[in-house]
Amino acid sequence: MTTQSTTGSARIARQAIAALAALAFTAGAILLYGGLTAVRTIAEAPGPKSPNLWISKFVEKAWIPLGTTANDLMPFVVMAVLLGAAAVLMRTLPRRQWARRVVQVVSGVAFVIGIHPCGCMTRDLILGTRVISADDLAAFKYMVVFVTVGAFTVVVGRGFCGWLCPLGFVQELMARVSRRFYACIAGGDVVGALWRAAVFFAGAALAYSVIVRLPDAGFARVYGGVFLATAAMIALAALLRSALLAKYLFGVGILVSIIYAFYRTKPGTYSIIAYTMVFFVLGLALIVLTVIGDDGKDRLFKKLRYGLWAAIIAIYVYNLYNVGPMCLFFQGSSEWPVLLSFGGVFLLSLLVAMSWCKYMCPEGAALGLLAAKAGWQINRSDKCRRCGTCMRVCPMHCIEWGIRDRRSCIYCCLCADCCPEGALEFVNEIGAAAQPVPAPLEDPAAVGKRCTEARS
Amino acid sequence: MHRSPIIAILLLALGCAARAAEPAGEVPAADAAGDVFYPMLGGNPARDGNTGVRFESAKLGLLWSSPRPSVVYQYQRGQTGSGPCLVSVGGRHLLIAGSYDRNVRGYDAFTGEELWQFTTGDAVTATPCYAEVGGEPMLFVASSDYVVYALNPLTGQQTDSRGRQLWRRQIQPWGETRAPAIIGDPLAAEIDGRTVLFFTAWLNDLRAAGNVQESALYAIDAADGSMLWKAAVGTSSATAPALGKVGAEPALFVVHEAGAVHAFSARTGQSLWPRPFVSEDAIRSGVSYAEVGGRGLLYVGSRLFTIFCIDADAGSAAWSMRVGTWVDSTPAIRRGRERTIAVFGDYQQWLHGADALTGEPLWDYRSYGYFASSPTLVDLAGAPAAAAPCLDDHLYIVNSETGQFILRAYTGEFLWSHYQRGDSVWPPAAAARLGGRGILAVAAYDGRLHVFGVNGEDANVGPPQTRIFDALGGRIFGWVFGGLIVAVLAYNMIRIVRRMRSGA
Repeated sequence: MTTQSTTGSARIARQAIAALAALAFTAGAILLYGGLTAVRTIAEAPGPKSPNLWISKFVEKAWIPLGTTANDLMPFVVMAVLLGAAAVLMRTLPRRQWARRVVQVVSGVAFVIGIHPCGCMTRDLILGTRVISADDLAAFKYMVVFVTVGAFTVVVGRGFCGWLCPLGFVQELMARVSRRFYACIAGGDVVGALWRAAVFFAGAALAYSVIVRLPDAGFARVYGGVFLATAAMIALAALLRSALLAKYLFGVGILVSIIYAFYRTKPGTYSIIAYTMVFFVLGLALIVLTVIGDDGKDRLFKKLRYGLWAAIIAIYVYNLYNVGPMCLFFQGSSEWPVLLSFGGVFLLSLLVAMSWCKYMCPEGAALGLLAAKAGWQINRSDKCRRCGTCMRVCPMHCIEWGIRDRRSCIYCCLCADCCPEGALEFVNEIGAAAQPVPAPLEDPAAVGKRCTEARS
Repeated sequence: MHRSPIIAILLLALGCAARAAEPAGEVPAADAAGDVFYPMLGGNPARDGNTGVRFESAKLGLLWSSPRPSVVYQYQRGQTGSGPCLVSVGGRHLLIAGSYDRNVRGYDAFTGEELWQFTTGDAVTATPCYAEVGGEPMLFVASSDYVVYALNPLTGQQTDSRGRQLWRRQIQPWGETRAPAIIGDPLAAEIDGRTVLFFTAWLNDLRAAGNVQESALYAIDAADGSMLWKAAVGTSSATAPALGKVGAEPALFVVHEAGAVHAFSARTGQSLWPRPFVSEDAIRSGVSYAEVGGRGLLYVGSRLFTIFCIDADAGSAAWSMRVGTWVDSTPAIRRGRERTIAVFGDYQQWLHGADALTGEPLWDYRSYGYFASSPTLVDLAGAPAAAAPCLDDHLYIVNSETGQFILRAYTGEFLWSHYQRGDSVWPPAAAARLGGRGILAVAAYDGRLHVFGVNGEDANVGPPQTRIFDALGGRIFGWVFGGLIVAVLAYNMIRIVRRMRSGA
């Protein structure tokens, strides 16, 4: 008993010393290397102008102009071809992840720098239904993307989200990047974690140089200051061996950054609705901070997206202007609400994989409703040993004890590809009876604990 | 004896007056006394916003504001607010503006005294157009009731100074529709020795039976109201035409909202380009024309986050400049000391200056709201300046060569509780020099006219200040949302510290 308490005291003392050392490192680094300069640079600089992104579409003119309008069938054609390819590949290949990556890259190239569609299906559906019979050409233009994706979803589920959506692809990549990083922090590997963060920051700076413009001195000061602050957080978390703390600190940093950027870009009095998605992302940051390390709250927050979808519908019914993170890819828009919301989604996916798709995406909510009764389903067979692998690997966190949430599943097929027993198979449920659920073979609580730990 | 200088001055004055009617519209309409009128939207037929008006001082005070209109503005797709027209006629300095309450009103430009009122059959959303036809001053009003009215600008009556009845021309029988027309502001220009009135009208009748959507460019003889020709533009709204040249042919350039720019012969209405210039997205900006570097160039904003400069002869893009947001503001073109500059606003709260010949960005200035109207170019105390009404309830004036802040004046509170971004494009400020005094009039978003001039007062309220609660959606929402953020952060901090202490 005495030995245990002595060990406990020593552990607390070590943690306290580590925390103090980290705090000293934080203060020293920021003071010495320009943190204050960064703050002053941000505070004194004139308000930022939205950057002109290097996203110019290859197809700037309509390929198939109809009359004098700029209607173009290309988005429909490309979308239909890619969705068809995704459907064929997911049903025919035994391992689908490489094929999925290829389709995601092709889709990214096609929609980000290839053609110029608007991916906002909810808005286009509302606008399209309004002008049916008044302007059928415009109605066709508005509704063609939703009808294509919607029809595909009714048969194949949310394959669009898992195979085509560039925003989902980016979030998946970020989640992969961050996995080893958090392992370093949890293992107390300060150098490894800092090295990975440095590579990430360098890569982001390179991307900024290519897509936006070459960095200037002001950018370097701000970026350097942000990096030093991040490095201090990493050092603190790694010394305490707590990936959870690292995520919390990053989450707070991201939240504060979005609010500050929001404030700096000064949305005008009448443009606040245009920033709705930024509010969504601020809410997403709060959800992410609440969900990290506590998967139990996940299910509750997933229902939120339907409410947000309703809010978006109301905005479009009133014909108010609204943009979101997806507009960066589909339209090449660099308006502040687009950049702020995309930046938030991008960074928050480093904390919780696919967080936007899980909790917020209004398009995903709409497609989820269609996908609930989709013809193709991934069901468990009797071969299931309830090992929990599918739960662990699912990026959408939509499998609970082998029961898949059909509205959330994005048909990435990771569960089926990773199942050691090959127990997850595509079945055609059109007209078929529901499959019986096999009896558990392992203590569900133990599997659940293991999965939660693996995600954390 | 000594008649030569007098003759030379007279010839010079006549030359100036003649040039005012030239298609390029480089020199604003002026009378022999050196006054500069603002006779139509954009200040001249080229719609380039270049007024040439001088103010002796950069300290502008509010001269007067009109009373509230009896019928407030209603949102309507493609609709614009009616801007003022500033002219001197018969020794009177007049400000003439239309209204949504169906009336056109004439005011004393410097005192705001209402001199006359003329009632049409529907809202007057197009800026009235002034021209002298056969020596007779005439005002042309295109109303949403499908009728163009010729008025006496002094009296607002349909009789001229000699008591003759003036004309009115119906362009569409009401029996064919129930929908009011959306009018693109008229312009008057001298074509082949005849004053011709050009304007666009959009019929947008959405009834299931009898559905008609048609926009067209009209040419009317300003002397008698006879229809000279009509050219179909498309099925969506068409903006105010701008006059320029394609080769040697006087040409009218019209933007079709669906995303196209058309060129029509001002003589015949025939299309002058093999195909229209097509953007990838909608265009809600007007078009302006200027001769820069020996070339006729057109400038137009777009919903493709891009401003286009189009070669007027070829109908193809000379350059394009990506802005990153919608541009509904028609670029104004200033011939500067070293180069020609295109000035325009956007929906990200910015005013931009770019080299009109190359598209190179030169400067930008940030406001606190949307710029849904076009800049007007004037000289303030010797400095080249661009004045642009902004949706943050202020008129901004910046140096058009450097983008430096000069003045911000309050123009009344925005009337409507919700704003549908981009659904309406407002007219630019009007600037004129009447009776030797500069005057700047704004048809503002509070539904009133605000007129500024040099009167010893200073309406400048300084550059805008950042307000955190506006960024968070207003004071109440800001506190609620801020409180929620703090609560969630505190709750999670406690939760995570507990987990760390328990070693989980």
